[in-house]
Amino acid sequence: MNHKEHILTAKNIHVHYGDVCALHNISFEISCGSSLALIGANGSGKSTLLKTIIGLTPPQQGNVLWCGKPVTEQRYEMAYLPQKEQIDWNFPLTVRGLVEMGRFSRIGSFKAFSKEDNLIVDRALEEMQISDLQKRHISSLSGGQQQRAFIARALAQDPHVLLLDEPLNGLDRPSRETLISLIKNQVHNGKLVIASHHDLHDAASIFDFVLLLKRHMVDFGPAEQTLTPANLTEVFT
Amino acid sequence: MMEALLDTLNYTFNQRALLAAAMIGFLNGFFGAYVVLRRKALFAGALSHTLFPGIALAALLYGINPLSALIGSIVTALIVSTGAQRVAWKTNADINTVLAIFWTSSFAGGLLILKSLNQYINIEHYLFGNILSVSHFDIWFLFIVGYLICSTVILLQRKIIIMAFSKDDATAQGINVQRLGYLMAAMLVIVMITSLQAVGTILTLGLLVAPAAIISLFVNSPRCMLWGGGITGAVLAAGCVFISNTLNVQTGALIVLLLGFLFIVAAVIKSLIASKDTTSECEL
Repeated sequence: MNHKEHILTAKNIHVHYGDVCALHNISFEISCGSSLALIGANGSGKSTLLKTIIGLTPPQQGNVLWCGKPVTEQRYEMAYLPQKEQIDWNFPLTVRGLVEMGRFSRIGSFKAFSKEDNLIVDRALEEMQISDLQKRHISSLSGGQQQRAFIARALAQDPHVLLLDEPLNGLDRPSRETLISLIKNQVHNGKLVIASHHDLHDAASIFDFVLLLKRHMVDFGPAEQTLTPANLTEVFT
Repeated sequence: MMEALLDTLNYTFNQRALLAAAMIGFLNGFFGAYVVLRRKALFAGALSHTLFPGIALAALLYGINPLSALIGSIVTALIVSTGAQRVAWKTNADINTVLAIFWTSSFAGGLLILKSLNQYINIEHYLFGNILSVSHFDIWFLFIVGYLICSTVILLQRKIIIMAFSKDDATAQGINVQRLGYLMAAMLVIVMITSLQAVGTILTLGLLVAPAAIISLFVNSPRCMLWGGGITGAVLAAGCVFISNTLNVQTGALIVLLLGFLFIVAAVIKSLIASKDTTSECEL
């Protein structure tokens, strides 16, 4: 199957936390080999939408399909990068141990780690330039290194879709550049990258598409055409 | 001294006690790693106190025997744990608050039931354990339960490790977190019941949590915590059978006291290592 035939479809997504409406009637469709930035103010529903796509927050209405089937039936096709604040950094885990976790969904509970699995882990560590840190405890890394370690775990999973929650937040310049080039490489290799993003200045240069959120969908389309002053005024006021 | 220690092995009940202590110590230390990783020590503590009312209720309904005590403990622990979680979820109340109310109430209920019974029951035996009273049946029971629980944990260890690290990560990888959580809670109750013979309901938390907590200070791997916790628990519990025989003190209390002491020693060593590392980094 051609990568372009891998399509993620969100249909009429409604999410409520008790009485609070977090997402209202979100619908979009995007195929592999492209990147999508979710842009909106704090509390606009960016993280909720990512969690809904991966199946962590089930929608009250609507559904998310991957190649026509519910994503909940094929989660191994998606890798999720949570926000740094949600991670227990004191958990007894080395960088390599963390990246190896990415293989668990592929090899299941009973199969042993093969040479190929170890090679995939090595490649993910190299790609994120953290091979020399693989024996370090995850808490001993800098913010940028921690982010790269989690992205290496996502790469080790070898997914079709990468869901990244605020991936560039709080990164130093080198880490930021490494990550931006990784996003572009992944898209070039036919993967779909969906990320929540804050910085409006570089959004159009990193991502192909933009979805503007204000708990409802303000606009969705190619980045250059969607990031208009009128749309941004509506989203951020 | 050595002769006196070896002398204890001449008695069958001491041999059984030694074997039982090693198995109970290993099982608790091994499974305790999961409790430490999930930061569920206080939850386990609350559960351990619900074993006692289960035993009292079983004594009231069927008379006191090992099987009724086992079933009674499992039933009350599961009712209290799942009930507290459900109430907390339905009312948005803090789970620790609800659990504290539930286990103290059930413990009080157990005391009242035992006082109302006409038959004599040695409460201290269940509260603090008596490893020397282990029977052949208990040894087989321990072996089978220990084998089944350790095998299940080993088979599911990848899922368990991801869930312990992050529930969201586990769900994102397609793991049914709720089902696995219930399975682990049920196994936790069974592990605590197995340690009743050694340390009783009051001290069981120490034997469960301390071995893995000691190991966790020095390793960066959940698997090392599982096996290291198991070996630490087994060696210490078996050693305490010898020592308690020689000193003529209660084995269960000695096991938990020594584990507490070892944890403090380990914490001091760990902080010394950490401060030495910081100093060398500053010098660089």
